[in-house]
Amino acid sequence: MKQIALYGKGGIGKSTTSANLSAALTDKGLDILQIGCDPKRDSTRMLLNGRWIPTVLDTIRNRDISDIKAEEVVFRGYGNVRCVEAGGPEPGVGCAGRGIIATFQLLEKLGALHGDVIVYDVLGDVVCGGFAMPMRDGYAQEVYLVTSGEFMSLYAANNIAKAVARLSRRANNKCLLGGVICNSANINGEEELVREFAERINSHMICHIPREKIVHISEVNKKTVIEYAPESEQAAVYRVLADKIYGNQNLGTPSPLEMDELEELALKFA
Amino acid sequence: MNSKNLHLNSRRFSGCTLTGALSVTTQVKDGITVIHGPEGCVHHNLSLFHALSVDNGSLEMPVLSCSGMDQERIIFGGEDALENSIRDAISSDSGLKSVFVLSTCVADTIGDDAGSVCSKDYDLPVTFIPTSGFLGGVFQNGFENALKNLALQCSENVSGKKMTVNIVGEKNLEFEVESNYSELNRILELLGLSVNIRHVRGCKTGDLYSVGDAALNILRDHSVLKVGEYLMERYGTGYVEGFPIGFSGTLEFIRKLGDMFAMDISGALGFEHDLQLKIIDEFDDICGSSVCFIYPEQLTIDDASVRSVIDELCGLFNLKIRKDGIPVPFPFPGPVGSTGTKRLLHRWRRVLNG
Repeated sequence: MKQIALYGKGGIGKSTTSANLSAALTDKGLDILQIGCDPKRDSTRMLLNGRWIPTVLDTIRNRDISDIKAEEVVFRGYGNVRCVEAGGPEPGVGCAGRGIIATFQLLEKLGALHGDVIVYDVLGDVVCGGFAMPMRDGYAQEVYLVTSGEFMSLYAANNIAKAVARLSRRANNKCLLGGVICNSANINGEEELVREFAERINSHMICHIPREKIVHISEVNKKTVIEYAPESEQAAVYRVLADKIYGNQNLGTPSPLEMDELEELALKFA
Repeated sequence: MNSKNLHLNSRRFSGCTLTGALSVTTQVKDGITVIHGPEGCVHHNLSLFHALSVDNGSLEMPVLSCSGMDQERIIFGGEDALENSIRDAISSDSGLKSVFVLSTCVADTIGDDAGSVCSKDYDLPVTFIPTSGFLGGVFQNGFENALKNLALQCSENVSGKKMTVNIVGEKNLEFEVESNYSELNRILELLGLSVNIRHVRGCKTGDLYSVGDAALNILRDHSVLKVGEYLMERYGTGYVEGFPIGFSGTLEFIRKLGDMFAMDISGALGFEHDLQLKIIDEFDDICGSSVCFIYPEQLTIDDASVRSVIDELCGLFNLKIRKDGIPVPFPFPGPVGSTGTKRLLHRWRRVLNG
């Protein structure tokens, strides 16, 4: 079983990338579980044709956990992809990070963490230990950083690389960096910038995803690109991404950049 | 080597803000303290307080309640649970007159705003005391915050000062707290003074409203100096920085109060001096003994009043401090008044003549 986590700045396109990745992987005949680890709870929505599924945290609220069944939190989407949303508290209260930990504990208890590939789609940044949970305790073994060429996006990716590097120092660590996904924001020299960033942090750019209108059109039709426009060039890009990630053996410990190095890199491509 | 295992490690003495504040709020006998935190925090403190009160000859249980922070409340926030706990507490006992709310590390880590929950409308006064478990500091911070916040019950517009004193910051978990109070009260009576309130020990909610009425605050010791300053700023009440310690400390205390109240103290001073001479006479059998002191170094290292008690008693009884002397208990906290010093001499005599 391959367990991968996609991390990156909020709004960079992690959920779109994750959903299309899961769709492309299931089309290969693989058993896929996608877990949205974000209180926004919209990670799997395109796999479910726009349906908002009950989140794990909504389900466990006011309930005895021992009474909860897997079918109450795991829902089948496109190509039988099993979809889970962790959910979270209302904005401004409680602790969403602890919610992620509780979600993982429940899914483990329900025996739901199985399949050929588990895709963890995680909130924008590793803001606390709870959001690092997919990287810990043997869950995700490969982390992919989703970034564009925008400075703040690279900054967030670099921060996540720091978290991976920190966790790699633990004796029982199983999590390594699988690569960097460039989700284009149509910036000049963006692909080269992200490739160099990836190399400078001791990794590699695994795929460049161009910014195409079809992504938006598919989303307003509540579908992944793979489902809505399977013959499109964009769908082909997602299939390449799926193939590369599924076969990726090039995993390593990142060496994140210092702030001045990151600024210098951004300036070079400005 | 792990320094945490050493007896001298100072972290062992810091304690928790919650326990510090509880040692105050649980002394308001018609009040209830609601802890915004997990049940374990309540259990731990309830056990500690109950054990200590049994040790002091009382079977009284502190009146505590809890918002029951669990995983669900940590994830979704616990403010609603706190509000429900406050309302439940109020409706559970018609004899209650006030509610005190203390927060724990868990509640503050997730950013629950217990203060704003307490500011809602309730049928009883609800006082929020910032504690925050380890996030709020140590035992002493919780203790001070509780003393200050409970003083806020009283209006700033104090009509007039009575010829009374408040006893401020008694250490309610201390072993001889009642004996010390009795001794202090005896000395005050010699001077014709009486106690307005004990802030805060064994009082009722209504008593808290009169903390500003006394002419003087007598602080338990210098550790509550900030509380004394606070009360002086809020109510204009002066303070004496500590209980009388040892023989000469007691005479000095009487002189100080005489100055502050501009009263003739010659009778009180003469009486007390005679009492001390009788005590010294009573213990002349320990004169000339060789002693060594057993004491926790970290607790006493800066306590000048305790050092002066040792000097005084060693001088009066010609005690010789030697490494191979008979081990006697170090007088910490310092013996309060002449009768407190007498009790200390009793303990020493038991060892020296045993």
